[in-house]
Amino acid sequence: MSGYFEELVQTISSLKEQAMRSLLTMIGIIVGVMAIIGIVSIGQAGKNSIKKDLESFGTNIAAMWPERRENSVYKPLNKYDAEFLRHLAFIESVSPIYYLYKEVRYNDFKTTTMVNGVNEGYFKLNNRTVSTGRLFTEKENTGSRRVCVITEGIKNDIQKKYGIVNPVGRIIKIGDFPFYIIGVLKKPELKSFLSTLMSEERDVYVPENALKITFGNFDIRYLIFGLKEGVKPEKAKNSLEFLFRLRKGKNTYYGMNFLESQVNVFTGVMNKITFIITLIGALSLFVGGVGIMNIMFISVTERTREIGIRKALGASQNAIMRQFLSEAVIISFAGSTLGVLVGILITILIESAIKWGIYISALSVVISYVFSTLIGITFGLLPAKKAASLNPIDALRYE
Amino acid sequence: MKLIELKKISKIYRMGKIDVAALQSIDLDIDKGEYLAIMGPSGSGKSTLMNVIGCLDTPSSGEYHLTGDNVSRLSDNELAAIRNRKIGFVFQTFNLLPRMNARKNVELPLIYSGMKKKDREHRAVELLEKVGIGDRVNHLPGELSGGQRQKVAIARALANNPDIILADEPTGNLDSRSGEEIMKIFDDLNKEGVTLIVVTHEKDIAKHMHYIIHLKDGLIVEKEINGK
Repeated sequence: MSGYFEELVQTISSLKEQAMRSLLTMIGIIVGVMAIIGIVSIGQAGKNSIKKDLESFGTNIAAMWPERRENSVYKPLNKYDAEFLRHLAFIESVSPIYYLYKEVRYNDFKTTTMVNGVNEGYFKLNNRTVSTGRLFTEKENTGSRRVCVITEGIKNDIQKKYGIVNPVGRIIKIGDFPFYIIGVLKKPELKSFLSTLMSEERDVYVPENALKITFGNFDIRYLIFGLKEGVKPEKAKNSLEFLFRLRKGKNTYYGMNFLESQVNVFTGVMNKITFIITLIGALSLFVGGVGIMNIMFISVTERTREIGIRKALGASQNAIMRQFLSEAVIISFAGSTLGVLVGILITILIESAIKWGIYISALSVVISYVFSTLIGITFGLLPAKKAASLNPIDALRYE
Repeated sequence: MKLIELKKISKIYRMGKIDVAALQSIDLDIDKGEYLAIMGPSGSGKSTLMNVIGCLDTPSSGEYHLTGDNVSRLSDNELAAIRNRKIGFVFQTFNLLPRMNARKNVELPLIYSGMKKKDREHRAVELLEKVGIGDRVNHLPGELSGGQRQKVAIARALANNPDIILADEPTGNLDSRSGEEIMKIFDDLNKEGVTLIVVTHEKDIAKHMHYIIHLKDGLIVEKEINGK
C-alpha cells in the first residue's frame, strides 16, 4: 500500500527532526546490541583460536614436575621415572626435559639463554618442525653428539650481526663447548593464549645426553608427555598421582599440568563471561525498550492534536496504531543498526589487539536485530494503543 | 432528497453525579445543497450537534441517518471511514499539520481513502488552485497567512468530494477581509451544489446562508429563514 509507505517516510522525517532525542532514546538499544555482538564474537574468536592451536598440537600434552610441599619430601624425577611413564598404557610418548641457563656465543655475539636437553621425541610431541636444516636423531642423542637446534630468535640475532642467512653448519659455543647447528625451529603459529604460555624466543635444544655429558649429570627438571587419544586428563592425573606415590613414596608430591584442562578452564571462564555480558546486554535492551516506551508516550501526548486531526480526517485506529508502532520499530531498528556497526568496529579493534583472529558472530547480529525489533514492537504497543484509542473530540481540543 | 435526518437526538454527559443534557431530542432534516448556519450562545449545544453530525461523536439516544444510512450506532473505525468519505471539516484554528506543506496537508484524507500517490498529488494541487492558492503548494502552514491557511483547510475538506462541509467558526481567527474571502469561497461552493453547515456567532457571517438554526440549552428554539 502506497499510503503505508508514505506514512513511513513521514515518520522517518519527524524522527530526523528530533535527531538528538531519537539518538538518546536509542542508547540503551545501541549499548545492548553492541555488548551482545562484541562479547559473543570475541568469546567465539577466543574458543576458535584455542581449538585451532590444539589441533596444531595433535596430541593432548601434559607436564609433570617434582614439588616441595608442606609435609612432603622433594624427590626429583629420574630417567627410570620417564621410562616408567613411557610404559603406561594411556601414555603415548614421553620426553624428559633438562635445562640450564648458559651463555651462547657466535664470534662476538653473546646471549645467555635457556639450553634444553631433550630427546628426539620431544619435537614430535610438541609438533615442532624446522624451517631450515633438520632435527637430531635418536642416534645422535644416544651418542651424546654435540649438535643443536636453535630457535628463530638466535638465528635472527646472528643474521643481523653477520648477515648469515642460513646458520646451519656453523658452530656456536654453549658455555665453553662447541655445538654444531643442525637446524632452526619454525616458530609455532599459535593464536590463542597458549602462545603466551609457550613463548620462547632464544632457546637452544640439544640432545639430553650431550647436555648431561657436557655440563654434568643432573636431575630431570620436568617431564613432558602425551596422553593417548580419548584419555581424560582428570583420570590420567588421578592414576599418575596414585602410581607415583606408590613408586616414589607416600609423602612425595608431583605437580601436573594438562593442556586440555587449562583450555577447559579458559573456555569455561569465557562461557561464563559471555553469559554474564550477554545478560547485561539483554538487560540494556530491556531498559532501552522502556526508554522507547517512555519517549513514545511523550510523543503521543505532544501530538495529541495531530492525532485528533488525523482521526477527524478519517484515520482509522489501525492507521494511527501503525504510525506510532512503526516509529517505535524504526527507533529500535536504527538503534540496533548503529549498535551493530559500532559493535562490529569495536569487536574488530579488540580482536586485532588481542590477536585471536577477526571473527564476527553472524548469529549474534541476527539475534540482536530480531530481538531489538521485537522490543520496539512490544514497548511501542502500549503508547500506540493509547494514541489509537484517543477520542478525536478531546484530542482536537488539546492545547 | 434528505441528506441528514436527525430523529430525537439526545446527548447526555455525566458530570460528576449529575447528568447534563447537551442535546435534548433534536429533530432536524437537511437536504442536499442546503447552506445553513447554526447559532447559539456558548453551552447551547451547538458544538455537540456539530460533533454528532460530523460523526466525531455518537448520540446517547435517537437516530441519525446520513445519506440514508443509520450512523448512530457505528464503531470507531466505521465512523472514521464515514468522516473520511462523506464529511469535510473546516476548523476555527485551521488544524493543519505544521510539518507538512500545503499539498501534503490536502493529501492526508486521500491517503486514508487509499488513493494512489500520483492521483493524490494531482488532486491536491487541483484543489489548492480551486481555492486560489495554487502558488503556495509547497509552503508550510507557518509560511502562510491565516486566510491562506484556512484556504488550505478548505481544500483539504473538499479532498474526497464529501457530502457535507462542516465549518466551525471558520472566520473566527481571521481579519474581516480574509473572512470575506473565505465566505466567498463557501458561497461559490454552495452554488456548485455543496452542502455547507457553518457554526458561527457572527450575524454578518450567518447572513450568507439560506437559513439559521438557533440553539439554546440543547434545543432548537428557532429556524430563521434569511430573506434574499
